[in-house]
Amino acid sequence: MSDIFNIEKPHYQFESSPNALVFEFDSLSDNKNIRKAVIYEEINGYDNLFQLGFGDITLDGKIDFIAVSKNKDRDKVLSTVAQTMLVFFDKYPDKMLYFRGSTSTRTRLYRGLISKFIEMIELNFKVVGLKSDGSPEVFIKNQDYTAFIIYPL
Amino acid sequence: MKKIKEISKIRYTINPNLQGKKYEFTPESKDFLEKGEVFLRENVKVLPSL
Repeated sequence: MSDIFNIEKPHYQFESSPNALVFEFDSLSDNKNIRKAVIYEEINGYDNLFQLGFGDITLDGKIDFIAVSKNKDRDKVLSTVAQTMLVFFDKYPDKMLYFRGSTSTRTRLYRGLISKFIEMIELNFKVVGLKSDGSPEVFIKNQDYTAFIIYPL
Repeated sequence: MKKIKEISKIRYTINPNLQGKKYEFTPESKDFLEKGEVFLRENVKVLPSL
């Protein structure tokens, strides 16, 4: 299994809805606990495509994808999100997942992580990069992309 | 698809209360999701085939 999805990597225990479309977990630090939500939403008009979103749950119960948590656990949070993807794909092996960063910096972060682990990811998944003009290509390391699509082999 | 063998080792619990949970989004978050869909619909003419 690819390292980014490695269940041995530190990640938070999480809760899953029975249909594996909604997940929640707590990001913990000495200073604060932040409730996080990961959601998989089917995109209307597409047969097999879901959009991934994750962010903080605000005090009034809304999801904030843009929040900068500063809880110093970025890798652990991203590893947890990757674990939810495994649960999602275990339930929906014939679906594709569309995702992008909520900022260009975050999109570059995801590109960097995928680049770092692409050889291992590709043992189980196909990753497609979507360029700024929307054209898709098999993911190339360190290429600029606006968004990504991942699906199981 | 290859079976994800490690799935049984992932530490998670099923919470029925999350099923169908509808969240509100902050305005910026709603905008983020909508822009993602717009990019997809307006620019991505060909999706990968499974």
